[in-house]
Formats: sequence, structure tokens, C-alpha cells
Amino acid sequence: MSTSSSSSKKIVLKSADNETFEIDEIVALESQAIKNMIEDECADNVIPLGNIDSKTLSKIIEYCKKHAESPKKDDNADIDEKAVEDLKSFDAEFAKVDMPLIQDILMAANFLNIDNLIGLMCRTIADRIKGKTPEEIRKILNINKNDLLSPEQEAKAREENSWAFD
Amino acid sequence: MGGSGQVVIVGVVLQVQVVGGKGGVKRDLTGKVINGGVGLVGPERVILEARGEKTFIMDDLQMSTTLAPKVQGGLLESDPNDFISRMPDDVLVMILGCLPIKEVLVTSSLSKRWRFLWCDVTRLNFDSPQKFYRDQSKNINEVNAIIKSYHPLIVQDFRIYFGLRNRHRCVIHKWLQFAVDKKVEFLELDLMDGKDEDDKDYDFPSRLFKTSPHLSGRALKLKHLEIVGFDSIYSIELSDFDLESFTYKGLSIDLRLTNLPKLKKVGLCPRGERWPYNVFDQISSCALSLPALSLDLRYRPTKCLKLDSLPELPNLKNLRLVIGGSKCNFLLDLASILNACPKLETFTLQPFWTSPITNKRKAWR
Repeated sequence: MSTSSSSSKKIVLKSADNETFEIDEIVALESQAIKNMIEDECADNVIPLGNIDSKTLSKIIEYCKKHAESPKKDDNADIDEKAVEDLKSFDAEFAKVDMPLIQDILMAANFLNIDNLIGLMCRTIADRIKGKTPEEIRKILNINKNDLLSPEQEAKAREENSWAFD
Repeated sequence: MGGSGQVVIVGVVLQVQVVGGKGGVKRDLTGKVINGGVGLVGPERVILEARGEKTFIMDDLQMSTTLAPKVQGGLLESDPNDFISRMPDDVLVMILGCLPIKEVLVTSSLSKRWRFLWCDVTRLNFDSPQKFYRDQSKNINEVNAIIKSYHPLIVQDFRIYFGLRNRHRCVIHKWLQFAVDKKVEFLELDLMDGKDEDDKDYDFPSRLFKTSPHLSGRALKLKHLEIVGFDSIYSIELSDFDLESFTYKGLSIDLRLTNLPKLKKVGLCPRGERWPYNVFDQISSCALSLPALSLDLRYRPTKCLKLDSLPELPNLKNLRLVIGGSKCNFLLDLASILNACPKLETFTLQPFWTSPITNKRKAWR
């Protein structure tokens, strides 16, 4: 079920490490930020993304391609269940990457404003910290040691919601 | 400034998380700090004015946990791997929204950055790993504890996933009232199916919304409603609010859907029947505008699909039918449904044959 793009206009994205990616405009439009740029006509031929490296960017393009090709979820419609399943399994596969890459993708998706991808990465992170102890979560999320609560503050936090900690 | 100990900082752009006294209010502010120095020891309460609109009061701990890491002593010694501190609150809150509420609360002890993020979570998932009835008093206490200590302005989602019976109706009523008061948009009660000889299934609170399960009024923010199999319901009337989707699975009922301008999708899955019943009568009140309809008629389709009383469905674009039964020729009759829907774009037909082998044989002949 691929939607053929009405125009084959191309957009070039340039990563922080100066690699360029030529993609169909329809793929780029998955990003609300790029969409706004194009609509406001302030997108040049090449869009530099100075804070996204090529590894992350190629993952993001992979995601946007797949989602741009899938039939759009129309509020009024029960869309093809097969397509929904297909997209779901794609998302599940897509999220099977290590934590640093997940974090990079989330940051980039947040920057590019790709709602579905932000949601997917948030769910993935939630799945990884689900059922873990605070200490384990700190490790998984690499929480800055300078940001830890003082023992008193931590005790208070635990006390406030004591039933959640048993 | 001096005498009263006030320090007024004007024109400093503070990216400050402000935690309202009882949680739930948090903003990035551009503003001034009154009655206290930023990050200094001493003030018991700090009042922050957000662009002159609102005043928030913080206590000392909240102050030190929210202001200090960002303002005190300049920059936080940043760890390049600690991406969390670089993400905006709404993204972190979205992560929390995917967790059961109990795990959300555990994150309050992770770090200063996470200390009060849980206050902004508007999706309350009470998904207990111990779903069985023997753990119910613990589960109930947990929900009560949350409702007591948690004061968000709105609750987007409210989900309960664990076993409860009708004897708990008082407490469940209370939770539902909480959800409705907080303008819940998505309400889901999955109280488990189970046999309990001493008690019956939970009766949906017919009085919760004032009259029997009749929800109405602009004030109601409910967008999606799904009601599954309550024997006690004989009628449902929904009117005058912005409901977007409605699904009903259960015994046949008297259903009235009126003046729901945003209603986009209706799903019905009647099971069993109480009286002569026609599934199309149930949607006649909203038939004119409805864009998507899903009918799951896997049980006794011939009894509830009375094609001769088919309403006009002039705006229906999407129709999904699950048809059960044992007669293949029944399908031919469905053509009349299509005639009633001039704008139909997608028609999904899912046969649910009770005896596929014999039917296949008949079809071959």
C-alpha cells in the first residue's frame, strides 16, 4: 500500500558529520519542523541538521520512509488492519536498538518534531525501566551523579509515596 | 530589598520548574523571583510570578531541588551521557505516562530532575501485577492513596486493570467520580472476568452521572467511551458532548446517541439478547452524520441484523462487519447495506463462521 507522491521533489538533509541524505519531500514532511520550514519557504535545497549525527539521521529517515509509505491514520476511518499490524511490527523492530541510540533518536525526533517517533521512543524507554529499582533505572538512564537527591530528600520522596516502594 | 530580605531579580530568563503546592502546576517561566534569592539558603517560601499571570509558592525543598541544579553555581556539571537532563519536561512526562502509576511514583526518588515530574503525569494507569481478587485490598489502597495525594488539574486517561467485584462498588464509584471531576478523556475499567460465587460483577454506577447511564452535557470532556458487558445496563443515552468514539459490547440495550457533533466512530458488539432487537435501531439517532461504523455480529447475526429497517447512512465512509453464523448465502443480503451508504469508501467484511468445514463444503456445492 504505497502512496505515490504527487511530486517527486527531493529534499537534502545534512548531518552533523557532513553526510548528506537525499529523500523524497513526502518523507521529510513526517517531520513537523521540516514541514514548517518548507511551508514558510525557508528551506534551502540542503537542510543542515547540526545536532544530529549520520547514524541517528539514517535511522530517522528509515522510520519516516516507512511511515510516509503507510496509509495515513484518518480519524474517520478504520484503516486497513494489515497495514496497522505491519507498521506495528516495523516499530517494534525499529526500537530494538541500544539505549544510547534510543536517546539520540528521541532527542533528534524531538528537535525535528516527529510526534509518532517521540511516542515510540518514550514507550521504548518506559519498557526498559519498567519493574526496575531506582538504582537500576539510574544506571539505564545514565542519570548524572551530581543530580542525585541528598539522603534526606530521597527519604522524603520515598516517604511521600511509601506504598509505591514496597 | 534589604529589610524584608527580598531579592528581586528582573530580566533574568529563568528556565525554572515550578511545582505548585500540591503538585500539578509546572511551567517554564520568564520572570522574577520575589522574597528570596535564587539558590540561597534561607527563604522558607519563594514566590514566583509567571509573566504576571499566576503566582506559585514553593517550599524550601522544592526550591532547592528545582532551582538549584540549574541556577545555583551556574551550570550543572554536565555529563554528556546524561541525556535526560537535556530533554524537556513534556518528553520525560510522556515516558512516565507509559508506566503504571506505581512505577511513576518510584521515579520521584531518582534524582532532582525527576523529583516532581510525576506531578505532571495525566495518564493514570492502575495496572497491578497482582490482578487477582486476593490482592484486591492492597490494590484498592493504592488507588486511594494516589487519589488522595495526587492533584492534577486534569486526568487525561484513567485506567484500572485488576479484579474487583460488586462489593467494591462504593470505592469504584469514588474513583470514577474523581476521573469525571478531573475531566477525564479516556476512561477504562477492566475489572477482570472471573467467577466469584459470593459476589457478582460490578454494576456500572447508574447514578454517577446523575441519571441512569445517560451521559450528557458540554462540561463532560469524555472523548472515548467503551462499555463492556454490564448485565445491569438496560439503556445508554449519550447526548450533548464532544464524544469521538463509542463502543459497546454486551447484552442488547436501548441505545440513544443524540447531538454528539464530534462522534466519528461507533462500534457495537451485541452478545445475547433481551428482547426483539435490531442493531440498526440503535444507531438510527446518529446515522445521518456517522462516518465510521463497526458491527461485530458474530453471535446470531440474523436475529439482530434486520435489513429491512436499515437507516440511511449518507455519510458513512467506513464500514466493518464481523458476521458469524452458518449460512453462506446470508452474504448476498448484505448488498442492501451497501446501497444505504452512498459515500462508502472502505467496507471490511470479516466472516466468523462457527463451523468452517461444513460451510466450505456447502459453498463448494
